[in-house]
Amino acid sequence: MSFRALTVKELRELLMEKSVLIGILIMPLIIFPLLGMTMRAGASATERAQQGFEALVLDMDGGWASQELIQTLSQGGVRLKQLSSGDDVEKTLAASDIKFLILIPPGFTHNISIPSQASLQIYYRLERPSVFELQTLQSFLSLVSLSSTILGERLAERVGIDARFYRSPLTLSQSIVYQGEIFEDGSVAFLPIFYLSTILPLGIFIISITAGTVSATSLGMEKEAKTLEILLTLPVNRIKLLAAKLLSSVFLAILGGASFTLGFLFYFQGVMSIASESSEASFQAPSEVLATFYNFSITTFILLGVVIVVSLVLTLAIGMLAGILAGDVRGGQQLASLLLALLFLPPFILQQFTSFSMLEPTTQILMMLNPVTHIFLAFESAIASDYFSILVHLTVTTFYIALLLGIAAWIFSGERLISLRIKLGRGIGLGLRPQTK
Amino acid sequence: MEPVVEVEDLWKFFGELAALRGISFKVNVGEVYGLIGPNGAGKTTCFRILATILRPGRGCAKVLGVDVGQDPQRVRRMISYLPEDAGVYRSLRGVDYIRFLAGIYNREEDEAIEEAEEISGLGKALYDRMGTYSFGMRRRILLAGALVAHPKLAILDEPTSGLDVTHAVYVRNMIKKYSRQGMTFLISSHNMLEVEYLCDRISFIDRGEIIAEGEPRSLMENSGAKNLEELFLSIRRGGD
Repeated sequence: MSFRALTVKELRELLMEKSVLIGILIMPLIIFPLLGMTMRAGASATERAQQGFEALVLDMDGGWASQELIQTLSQGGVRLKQLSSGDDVEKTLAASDIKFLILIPPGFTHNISIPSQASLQIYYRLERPSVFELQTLQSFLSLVSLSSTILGERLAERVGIDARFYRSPLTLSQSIVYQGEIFEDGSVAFLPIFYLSTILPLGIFIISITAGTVSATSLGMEKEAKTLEILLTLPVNRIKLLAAKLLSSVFLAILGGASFTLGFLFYFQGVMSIASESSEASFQAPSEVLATFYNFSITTFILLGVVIVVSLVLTLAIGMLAGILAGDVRGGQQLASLLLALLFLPPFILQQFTSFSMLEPTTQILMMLNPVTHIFLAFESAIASDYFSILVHLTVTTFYIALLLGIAAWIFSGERLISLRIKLGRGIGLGLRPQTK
Repeated sequence: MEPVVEVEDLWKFFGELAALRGISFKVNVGEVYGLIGPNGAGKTTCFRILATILRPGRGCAKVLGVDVGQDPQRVRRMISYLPEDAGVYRSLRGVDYIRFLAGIYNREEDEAIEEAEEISGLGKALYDRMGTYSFGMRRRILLAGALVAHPKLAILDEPTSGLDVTHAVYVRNMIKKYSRQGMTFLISSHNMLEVEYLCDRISFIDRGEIIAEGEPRSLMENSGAKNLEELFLSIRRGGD
């Protein structure tokens, strides 16, 4: 009865707290779709700007090869405006709306005829340094480079050589052997698992930070609102108090996780639609990714779910400890975020860019001391259906959870909770605050 | 009859600072006992020890024979505590808070809410969020929470602090009413008129030591002081 009353009170309090509702449930549903839509709109604008490039051409050569190049560029979609005289390039570009100028120097045709590489000078008027400007320049250079290749093929044809063959005399096909099965065209077949290996740890990372902040908030609110002393004198076991807070935080973290996932799906679909518009490769939405992957049995899904839940409980325990140590909501959230970032970032980065087994033995030992490393390793094992490894890593993580909760309960059960404060400000301080009246 | 509170040579240290220096007192069933003293005298530290939030340093503190240091969980079943600067759950309604406490103390919800309405005098405001309450309203809902638990011992640190005259009188009457029903109170107050009206016995505490104890009237008569304020000042001067 008392545990139910405590849990209901905790849930009511958390769900009625505007900052929790807005920050955890509503913001992901707004921020991610907004981010996806903005990126899509930005990408479309960039794509439109890059369609139909315009360039000034100053042909100081006037030979057949320069004419051939101009023709190739025109066929490639570049609208060219020929200049008759060789004025100052800088002034010409500044006076024009057109941002590119192609200078074909004298001797261009002669060099091509020898044959020797001919030089071509491209000028770009940069208005405001930005990624957009950089992308525009890169796109234009790619187009000119493609024109150069086509020009080369045409020149080769003149002397009876099939340049296309010599450029690519091999036909490649690739297969991936995974868990005793051969997958033709491996990169495409494994596209989903590659996505999953990147996106899911990122999701776990973000949800975990959220969950840790929630549990830190839950305790911080008690301290800040000065309700903690009454709570501590209630005839309820301190472990039950912590468990009720943990349970309500889990509930809220799951809601937050669902909100995050939904928002992230919208974002992802927005980003994927950009990719599918600009590339011939077939990209899939995460839901399709999960559905189509061949080896994702129900067991694997369940194991992934178990790993996520254990990760959630670990994070909540860390957040709870931060909440106990800190003096108020803000302090608890700051401490929780700091601890979680410190614990999550190293294994997350390593998991993305290398394999734990490739690390130096000392680094491996250090990483294994971090409970979050075991979450990522359990996650990898779940995808690979390596049940023994999952068991080992989850057991170690459970031990860490018990240890963290034990420390939290130890602080919570004595008078340390009243006197201990860790403040994050200019440096981290730990102090005892005796209060005598 | 076993005293409800039994404090014997109780010391409490915070590092080098001795907040309590061997205080001793007893509170009997149904008594309203006042612990009176200036800020920093050690009242709150003593209350926190009896409320099981702080551990005793040296000496002994018992509630109905149960040592607060050895079996705090059993003590918590017999007490309720209202700290001086206690806050409320701003997101919860008053009625939700009472329901929560009813759940904790295994009381019938409707009965507890009815009683809380009477103690707090909040009426329909009991159904508003506590975040919207004035200081006085907060104090009254917290007092209601402390009393609906029907504790053997209610420890109230400055129960009428910040209340206007009407509500302070109302709260005092409530304390008297529950005391007549057999509930024991340990209170602190800076309002000497309140102490004189409410308390059956008092202790003056200063710098962690009890410097006088007894019934307010007999203490004043013995010292020839006109009121408790005068009495306290004369005892302090004597101590200096």
